Amino acid sequence: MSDLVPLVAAVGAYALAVLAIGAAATRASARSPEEYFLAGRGLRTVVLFMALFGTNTTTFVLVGIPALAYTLGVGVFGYNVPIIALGIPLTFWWIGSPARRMAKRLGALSPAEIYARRFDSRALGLVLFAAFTVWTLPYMLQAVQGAGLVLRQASGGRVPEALGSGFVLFLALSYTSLGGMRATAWTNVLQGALFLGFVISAFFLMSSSLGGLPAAMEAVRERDPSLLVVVHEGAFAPRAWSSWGLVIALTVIGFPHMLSRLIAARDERSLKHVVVLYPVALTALWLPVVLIGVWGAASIPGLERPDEVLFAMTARHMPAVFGAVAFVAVLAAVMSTLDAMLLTLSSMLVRDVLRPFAGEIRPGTEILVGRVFAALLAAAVYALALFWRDSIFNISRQAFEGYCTLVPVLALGARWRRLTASGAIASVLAGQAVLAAAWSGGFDPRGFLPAFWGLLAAIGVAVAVSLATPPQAPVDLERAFGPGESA
Amino acid sequence: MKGARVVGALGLVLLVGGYLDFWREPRARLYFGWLPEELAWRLGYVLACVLYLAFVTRVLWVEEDGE
Repeated sequence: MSDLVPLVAAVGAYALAVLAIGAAATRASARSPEEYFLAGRGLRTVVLFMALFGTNTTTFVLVGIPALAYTLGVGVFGYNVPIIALGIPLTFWWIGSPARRMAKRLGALSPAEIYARRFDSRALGLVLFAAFTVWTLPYMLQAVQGAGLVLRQASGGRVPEALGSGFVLFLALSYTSLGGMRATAWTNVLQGALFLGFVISAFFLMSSSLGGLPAAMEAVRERDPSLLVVVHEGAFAPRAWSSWGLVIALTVIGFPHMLSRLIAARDERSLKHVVVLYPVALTALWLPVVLIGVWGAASIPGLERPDEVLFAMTARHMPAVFGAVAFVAVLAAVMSTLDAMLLTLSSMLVRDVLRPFAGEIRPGTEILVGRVFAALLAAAVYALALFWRDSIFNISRQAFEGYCTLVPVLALGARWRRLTASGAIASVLAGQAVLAAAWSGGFDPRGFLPAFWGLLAAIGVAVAVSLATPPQAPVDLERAFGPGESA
Repeated sequence: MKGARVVGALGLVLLVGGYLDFWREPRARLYFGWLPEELAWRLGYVLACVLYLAFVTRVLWVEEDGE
């Protein structure tokens, strides 16, 4: 039992730190729903960047990607990083920036509410809320399951996955409910520093343990030289590669929890700084995790569950105390996403489901209801996590494809004045219908990912239906876009 | 501004083309004794992205709300 002491101490210290941050943010967040859900729209460069980067990083990167690199090699880096280093920042500019301006003008506090108010359409708000929720629940699931898996491994099997998952959810819910967006953004600074610090340390310590970088890579080349190249077949075949690039570049702006962070930015200058910093941080995170997975293929071949490679490598090639640090790093990555998802979904439940039907709600009640919704969501996710089993990568990929089909509405709604509410609703439904048809075997995607066809359908339907329906009144457009804005 | 937009569009086309690099021959060569050619190419690509995004934020992205 004494070998659990470092783990318990590390987790205890981490839990105290995030709860203290949550408590510190409580008073400011209780002032108004805008303070609670969006930190008063006041996030500046450093906190905004860490909030976005932390929210964007989850077990998919820290656990799923090393597992994939363990099997497929360094190609996993080229499959993902270059295109997200380009695509994510560009969508922050192209979609996030005008969406933030609209949210401010319209007084919207949630991603769905921006578009519901832009079109003055309660139905669109509900449709977007439903679509965001459908894809966010499985994404939360993979985060929670990843945390349970990691705690089981870190404790040598003595902490069951169900207990680990429950603990992580409860902790994230606690500080999120206390301090809202401000607490989650501040904790993301700590969490980002933790997981980034860990993977960079792991990179140097593991390579040193393997005899240095040249020896580590030479061992991989001797074991299986195909791990050092990309052969464009199978998962990396041109159509799969190009459609995955499209999906992963576009999907992040479709995460409602990312859009919430973006609309909480204080000004455009902060957003601009984030756009340039993003590719650098992505590389600093992804390069080590991919190489750890590849080195694992040579150092610990034959793992039954490649999802375990990060921890197996930590146990074999780093001092014992890093086992606990690795767990806290993954915990930090999980919770930095989970808190944002809990807050954003609860904000949509309040602003896009309850408020349009219940009428005006007192600010204090709105915050209280947001907290209750967050608790109910956490309970639902926990129940799902116990029964839905799939690999972390597969769960994430399905969610990514779902989010991706929402991007045409988010982009056109922020940039194209001629888009109508009917066009937007039809676009969301068409994208989801195409995905459902492909996944159920209704048609052959011909080597492309289903999201590729879903995206085409969503764009085509948005344009066709909008042009066939009456445009919005100029006064409504000016309310959303402002006088003379070019969008 | 029109010239800058053309440069921006061309840069985007080149970068997307660079991601879809199906013509490259797979070689397990290590640069500096440890960096696989595949990773070296991708790291160079990310550097190009950083430069491109710096251009976008400085030239193409106009702050419209006077902040």
